[in-house]
Amino acid sequence: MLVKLTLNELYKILAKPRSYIGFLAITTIIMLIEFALYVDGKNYIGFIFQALEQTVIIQGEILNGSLVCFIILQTLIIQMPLLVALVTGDLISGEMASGTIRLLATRPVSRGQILWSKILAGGIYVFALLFWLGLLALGGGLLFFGTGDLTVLKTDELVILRESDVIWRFISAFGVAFISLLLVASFSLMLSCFTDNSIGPIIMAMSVIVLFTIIGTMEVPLFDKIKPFLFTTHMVIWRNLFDNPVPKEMVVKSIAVLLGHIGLFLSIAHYKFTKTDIQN
Amino acid sequence: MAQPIVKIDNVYKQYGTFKAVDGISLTIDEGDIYGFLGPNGAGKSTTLRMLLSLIKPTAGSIEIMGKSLNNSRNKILAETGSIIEKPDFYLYLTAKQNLWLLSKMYSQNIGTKRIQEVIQLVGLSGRENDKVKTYSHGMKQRLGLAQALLHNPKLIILDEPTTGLDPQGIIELRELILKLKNEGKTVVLSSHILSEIQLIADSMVIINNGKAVAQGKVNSLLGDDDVVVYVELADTEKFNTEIGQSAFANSLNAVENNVAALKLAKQEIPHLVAWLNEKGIAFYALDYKKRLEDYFLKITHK
Amino acid sequence: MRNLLIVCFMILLLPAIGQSPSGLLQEVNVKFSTVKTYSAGLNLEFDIPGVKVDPIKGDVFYKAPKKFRIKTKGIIFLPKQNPYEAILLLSDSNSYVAVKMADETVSNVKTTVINVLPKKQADFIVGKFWIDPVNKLVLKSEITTQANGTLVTNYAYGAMAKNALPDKMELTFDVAKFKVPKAVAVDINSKTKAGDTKSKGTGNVKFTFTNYVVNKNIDDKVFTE
Repeated sequence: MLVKLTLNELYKILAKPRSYIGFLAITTIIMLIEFALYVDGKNYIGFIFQALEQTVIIQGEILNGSLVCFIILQTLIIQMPLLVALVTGDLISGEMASGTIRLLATRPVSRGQILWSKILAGGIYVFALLFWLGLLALGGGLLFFGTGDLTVLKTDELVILRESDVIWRFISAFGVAFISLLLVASFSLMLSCFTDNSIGPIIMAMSVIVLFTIIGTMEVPLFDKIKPFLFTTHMVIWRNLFDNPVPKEMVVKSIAVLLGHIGLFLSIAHYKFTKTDIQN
Repeated sequence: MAQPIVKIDNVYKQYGTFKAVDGISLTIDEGDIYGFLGPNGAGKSTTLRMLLSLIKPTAGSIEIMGKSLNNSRNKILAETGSIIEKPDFYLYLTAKQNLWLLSKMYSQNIGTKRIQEVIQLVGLSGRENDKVKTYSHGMKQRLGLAQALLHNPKLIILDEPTTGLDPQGIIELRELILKLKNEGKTVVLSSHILSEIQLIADSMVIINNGKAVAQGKVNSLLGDDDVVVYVELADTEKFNTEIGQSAFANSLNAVENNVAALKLAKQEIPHLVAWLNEKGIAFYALDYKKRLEDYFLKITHK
Repeated sequence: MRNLLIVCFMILLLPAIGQSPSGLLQEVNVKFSTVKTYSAGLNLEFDIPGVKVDPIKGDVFYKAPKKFRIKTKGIIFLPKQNPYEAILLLSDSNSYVAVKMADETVSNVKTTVINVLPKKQADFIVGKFWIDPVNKLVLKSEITTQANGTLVTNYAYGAMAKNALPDKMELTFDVAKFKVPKAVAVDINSKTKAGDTKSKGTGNVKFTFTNYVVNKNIDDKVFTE
């Protein structure tokens, strides 16, 4: 039954124009970045490396599909939570607001099944969004810019990752980014269980993410103590997969924190949704 | 003797200090049309929502089809169809798509043939492929009925089903409910429009302030023993003088705007007319009502 | 960059003709001049300040007199300094003045240190060579240019010493301080261990050569691809 319900939820997600905003935004941004880099990428790279190239010759193509994909990932990571919350924040509250929740809750399926079908559908949506991002960013990047070593432009140094060492990192990074976005999805879905306002959870989820990100970015000693407890701190762990060597302990710890948060948010959502009276 | 299909036993629903449902107990017989009657906010919808497990009772027990709602919720809902409050659908989908999605929520196989059947039954043929956002309220109400009947349930719960329907739609709905009864289904419906219940219900409960203030067979609640007689007086002053000494003194409810209201048994009306003539109290008209409206007003406004 | 390497190898192999500084340099030159072409497998290791990069394998190709090419499938960093013109100077004994400075021990080998100065004004300012006078091999060189500072090269020889071809070569050179513009940088939260980031501006590249193939024809396309 859960499979049927999940397919139902996917059907609804697919039928809603809002669900395509994310795909449209991703496509547009990626196309723009790839076009800009295709036309003017050499200058862009030249600008970045001008100081280094005064004393060092860099042989090999820095501007390649791997770098393009990395730049896209880096750019889009700001928008992705919004695009995810736009759909997942509406999954329960949207049904509450429109009254269609009664249609579901009066069927011979448990509330838990209804919730989990939405969680699964939300997860599949997040995966599809990320897959689309990967396809366009990595696929498009490799197609138009070719393969090669990945140059990671860190603030304090360059990290050159060999071509053979790149794909697994991208796959892992997409995996970790998927977990991060699942956290956004579960967070917004949890908020969605507390209101019958369709937009509220979306705005609330984004506000919390922005707030936590600001706290995480500010170099204030007081905030340093808080940072490890903010889930946003762990959401950017995908970047560390492009460090060399990969700080495995740190990555595993962050993944555990992310999964812990997801578990917590979904447990709260489950408790709230299964216990709540449907009044509207 | 009909078997009870719904048994509500001393059910409460409390929000803080407010008791939305205050110890309601009732039994609904299988095959009946059962009316929930009450003014807005009386607790009808809350009670119906509890039958569908949309709301959990604070206390009390509900048994449907011989099973506890707490323990056999899904089995009960598999045999129950409902429209609660207003028929809401996924507006961005067509009627057919809406029904198709809902059909997937049952373990039994509900095919497109059945979907088409219920669409036809509620009179939406030809519009089933239009998006619901283009539907009028009446059409949505019909679609609401379609989804309630989709899985051929034994028990059908309709909360204010005529809201938004035009007169023709109301008649058609009434006919459909009677048809469902003839098919052996039990229909529970609520309304604050009294005539709806009066016209089709076998049994009813009147709910006010969360309590069941009267319940039973409609016929017995509306027997001839309890009618209200309205006399439009030409000489109110004389009536007021004479009534105190008459046998009808205790029957007088009120005299307002030259209309006297008396609570009598139906067979006493000829005696009243005779008394008015005997005393020479002129009157323009005399009417009586034993209709549900009077009963409803009497209960809820006392 | 290929020029740099040509220079390095030529320096290595300059035959020393006599005990005079110029003569010794000539002898080294003569030894290397027996090599008309060579190709070899190459492993490159980098230690560039502000750049973290794994070693990479590739191939190196040489064709006399000055065609040189390193082929790798990835990005490599090499010193910008081009000492090839200095080598040209060395090969033309009329263009420089060679001065013996001292004897020094390099890698447990006693070497003759020779300074080379251009006779005319050039980008090349001064060259310093540590030459094994017995085997006629350059064990270390230090070339300073106006534009690109100093390139120090250490050489280690093995089976191909007879052709003055080193097994290992380590290049040390000046690297300008480099920072990725904030606008394009990624802020990775990894905790950088103290000392991880080099503050000094000196880069180091290690070449390890394997499987030399000497004096077999190499298509010119290799150098133009």
